[in-house]
Amino acid sequence: MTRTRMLAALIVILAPVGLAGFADRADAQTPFALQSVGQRLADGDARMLGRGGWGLAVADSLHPGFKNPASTAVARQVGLTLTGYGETADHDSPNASRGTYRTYVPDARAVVPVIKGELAFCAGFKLERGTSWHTKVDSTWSIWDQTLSGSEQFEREGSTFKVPLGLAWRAHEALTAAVTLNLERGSLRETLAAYFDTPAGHSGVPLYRSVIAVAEDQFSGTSATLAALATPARDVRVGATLTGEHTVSGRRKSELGGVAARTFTDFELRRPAELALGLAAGVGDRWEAGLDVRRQDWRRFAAPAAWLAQPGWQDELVCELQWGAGVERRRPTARRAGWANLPLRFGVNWHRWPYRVGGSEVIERSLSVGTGFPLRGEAGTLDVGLTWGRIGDGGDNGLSSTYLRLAVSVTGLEAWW
Amino acid sequence: MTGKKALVLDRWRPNRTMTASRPAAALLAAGLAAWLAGCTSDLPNRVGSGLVDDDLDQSLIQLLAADVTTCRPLAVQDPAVPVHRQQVLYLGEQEGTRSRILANYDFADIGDETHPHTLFTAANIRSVKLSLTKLSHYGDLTRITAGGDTVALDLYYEIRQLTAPFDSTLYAGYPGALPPTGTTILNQDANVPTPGNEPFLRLFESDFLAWVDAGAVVGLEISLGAASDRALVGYAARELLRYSELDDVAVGTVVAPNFVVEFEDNSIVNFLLPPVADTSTFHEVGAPPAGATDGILLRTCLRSYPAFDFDFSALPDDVLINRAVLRLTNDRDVAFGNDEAVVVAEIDSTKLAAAAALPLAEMTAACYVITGQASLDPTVSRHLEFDVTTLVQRLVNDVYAGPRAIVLAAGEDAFPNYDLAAVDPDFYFTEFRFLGTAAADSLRPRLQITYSRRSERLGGAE
Repeated sequence: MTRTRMLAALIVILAPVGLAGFADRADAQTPFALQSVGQRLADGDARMLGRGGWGLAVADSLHPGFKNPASTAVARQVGLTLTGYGETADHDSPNASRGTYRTYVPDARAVVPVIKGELAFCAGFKLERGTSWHTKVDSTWSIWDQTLSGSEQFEREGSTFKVPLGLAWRAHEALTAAVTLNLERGSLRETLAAYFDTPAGHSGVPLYRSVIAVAEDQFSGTSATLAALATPARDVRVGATLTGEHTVSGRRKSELGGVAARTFTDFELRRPAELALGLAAGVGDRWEAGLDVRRQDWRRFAAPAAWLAQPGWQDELVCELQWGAGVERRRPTARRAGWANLPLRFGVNWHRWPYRVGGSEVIERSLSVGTGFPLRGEAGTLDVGLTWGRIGDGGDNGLSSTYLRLAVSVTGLEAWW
Repeated sequence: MTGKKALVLDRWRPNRTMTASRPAAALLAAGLAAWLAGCTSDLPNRVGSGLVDDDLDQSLIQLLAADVTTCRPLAVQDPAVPVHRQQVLYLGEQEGTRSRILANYDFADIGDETHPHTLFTAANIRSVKLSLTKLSHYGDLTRITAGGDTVALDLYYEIRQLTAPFDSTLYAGYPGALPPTGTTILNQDANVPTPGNEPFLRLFESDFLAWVDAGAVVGLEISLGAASDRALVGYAARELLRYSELDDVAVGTVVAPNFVVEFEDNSIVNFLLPPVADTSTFHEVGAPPAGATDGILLRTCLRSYPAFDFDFSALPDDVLINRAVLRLTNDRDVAFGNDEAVVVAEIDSTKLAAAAALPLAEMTAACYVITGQASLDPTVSRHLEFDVTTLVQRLVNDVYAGPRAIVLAAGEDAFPNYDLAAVDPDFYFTEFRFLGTAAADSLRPRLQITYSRRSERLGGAE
């Protein structure tokens, strides 16, 4: 695949996402993301998402699996993967419902083989956690001899991301290992506002100035991830990653619209370690099955009590657990009739969010399907994954979200030297 | 055969096969674009609001600032327009201000081609009158009789001769001196009210002829008799430029106080003698209240702009001012004058401390306009409110190093948003009389402040 074709492929994938993003800057995520440490964004590329999210035990030089950095050790070409997705969702609460739409590019990864098939440098950009939700409640106030009407609005928006930089080494025919240093950055902005729409003057400008209180956090830190991928038997692989407990520094800027004074405070967040294990095995000639399990005990998360407004919010933290399983019909080695050439992927995913809402755990369940299209000359692939999922339960959590997510990835391979 | 088979096998290689799927990829991309671009989000609503546990628990707090800490009148003078150069002559008295009109006439070599000097004889002259031209606004002034009827003001004009012509330079400011006059009232109609917007006051021809014979400058004083209704009435001066403030007058009319000589020969047009100098005396000017207790005076013509300050000590630091309203109550029973703008501005208090009087340019340069209202009738406007939110917010934000005061001013040229009238504030004599701090709570000057603040939720605080 020439660079031109690779670029064309990138444009094909990014253009619709970008166009849609410009057409509607809808940042809504799910109301559950309003709480606590927010929502963990979908992990992995479209190939993995289409089969339930598993991808820790991948050793494919033509389709690098960046979810486990150790997978990149087998790379023989420079590889680049971009993943983006669009998501449409419906959110229901006892009194109202809301439909939202969102697009973003959460993942960009690259691998550069230093010694082909043995040593590789990997880097990337990965959105880790995000929160984006906006509420609006119509309200009235009595002041002096007037009645004011307007709305109270709350918006929480932000994300944390990682820039993993690492080396992967194939130490043995059946064992590869990797270590990455993750630069962690991010921001979180909370806006609490009361808009007094009426009474208004002749020009339509409200007589009373709105109250807009903003707290904005900036995060900065580093973490390290250790990864391993073993092949204990033919077509059977086991992968693992461990990101250690680490500290993230934060700085909060608090301001009230119209008031000159601002306050800055520094704080630290202690994030718990994250362990992920994966297993994959071939089933028959073309099929492969896999399972990933991820665990992160957020009860060990340490942050100032006032970091979030909810009193006792830390008591609601639980151990985050996620597993995804699925099967994939791999690409054929010989031409078959019609659609039989296409890879097929199916999977399920179960995710316990790291905090309770409404006194109950938040459970996310999803089903996914996917496929892919190899590019000319084994120069990469274009993968798509469609996921239907449900977050929370109206009875247990007081609200629920149902989403349909279309993920698209393009992977380009180029033997630049 | 082998070569043909190899060719076939090559066609069956997966990479060759998948290139055929490019149309499928294009179709997928097009469908993806259509799907993504067609989606929109609903506007924010109540969904998720139950998870918002943060709230603005200290919003819309009411604070009434009614203590005026300082209040002082600020005399503002326009050096370019001394009293004797004003466009209007004021006559009468109202609310402590009294004024007469002085006018000088030069009788040396009077006459022209139509009216040779020899024409001015007792035989030729039918009548001599002194004409005044009242501004339109004052022509409409009325009073209510004991019986409840609305009638025009009764004005009894009296004309006396000054012992000597007055010196204009003595009437740059106020109060002006009353120059000595003869005791004789020169007009024949002093004992009857003279109505109308162009009163003609009948003089004795003999007096006029004596002045013609003397050929010197003669000064006259015009005043209102004791029987006149109390009012300060404006007439056109020789400096008048704004004819829009007059009722329609005939072509050739001299609007300043002028002699009108009528001849026996009807074919001879009237002879008009305009003054060579005129002025209002303003020999008594009501003093503005020294403090806020007795009221706050805003006066135009002889500009007196009040500057005052409130006690903001009850207002916390670092708060958002949702709204701050300055409320004033105008005492319509004593306020008088024509429509005028009231501009609320802030001013460096140190400017006020340095001088009780300021040149107009210096005052306007020191002011920062906050708000105002145009075309307020002092005899109609009762409760006035001005949005001074920005001022109070600036004070809270410590924008200024020095103290700031509120100043009430008229629609000066320097305040273009409120300078909507055709004339400057030195034209009409207008007084707004705002009730002071001794008035009832609902009438006294006060600042009605609504503010909000936010409890600091510090990221690092435990």
